[in-house]
Amino acid sequence: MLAETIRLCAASDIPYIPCAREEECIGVACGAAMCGERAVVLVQNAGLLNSLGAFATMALRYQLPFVVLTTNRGVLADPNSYDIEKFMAFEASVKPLTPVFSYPASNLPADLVLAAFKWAEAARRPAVIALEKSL
Amino acid sequence: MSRANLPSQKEAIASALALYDTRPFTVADIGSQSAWLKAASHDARNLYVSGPMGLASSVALGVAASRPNDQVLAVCGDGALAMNLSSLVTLQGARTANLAVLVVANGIYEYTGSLPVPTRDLDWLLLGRGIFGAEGCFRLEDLTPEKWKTVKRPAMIVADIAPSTEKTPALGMTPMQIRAAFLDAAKA
Repeated sequence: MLAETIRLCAASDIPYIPCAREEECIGVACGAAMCGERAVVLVQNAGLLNSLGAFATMALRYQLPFVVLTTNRGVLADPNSYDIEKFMAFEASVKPLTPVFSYPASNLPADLVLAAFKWAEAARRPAVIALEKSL
Repeated sequence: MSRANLPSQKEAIASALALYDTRPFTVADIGSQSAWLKAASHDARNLYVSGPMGLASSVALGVAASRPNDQVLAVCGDGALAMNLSSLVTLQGARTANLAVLVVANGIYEYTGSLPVPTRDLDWLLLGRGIFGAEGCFRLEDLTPEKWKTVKRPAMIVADIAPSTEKTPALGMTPMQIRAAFLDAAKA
């Protein structure tokens, strides 16, 4: 779901930084937010799970506004056996930690990212947007 | 390796900062790196990472991308950087032209009872040169301000340091104080 977005970012004038490991993405976004810049993290739910320490102790601790677009694999319409535990862990760990706004990946509002930044800056915390397949 | 005659962490950080004409944005890892950076040279351009261990190099990459006309230095402990080694590969791949990493290696977790780090026998210079090339990684004692100006970024500096004999000073700043001061400096 994110591959085409990543290709578009890499081909655009938008500064795009591919990170070797997901936790680094949270660090990079925190660094940009510390400078007052807007950053978007593109990551699968399993990658956000890998990053929860940094998310909590840096992004939440320093009240940093950025946007996380995460593909929430393993939902009802996306039943790959290897994705189910990712979905369950996401439900069990991310949602109790921070609000998650879920949208069908096939029908995203045009102003979704801008709205997410407005929310993040008002809430002084990252806005997590979960992109999901739908039936 | 005898560390008796090596510089302290505070001295090594001060020496690295002295390589620059203009004060770089400096991002330090949690614990002794932040504390000794503050003790060595407190500045609004310092970003003290008081939460996640090992994330300073990644946060510094975000700062470097956001402030491409300024130099950025990440100050990482050997134990901390070992937790985020992949960040070195990332920032090399990003070709960030204004970012350097200083690894201060004392072979111990200074904040955690001075327990040994698993990288205590690692050759950081060899590792750095494997990632950044032979002209991209240097020992601190081999650098001068004139030499450092010619080194292409991203780059890495290796500083072997002595274990501290002093108590690590308290940071004495809240995350909100750190963030507000750094944001002002970044927007100046």
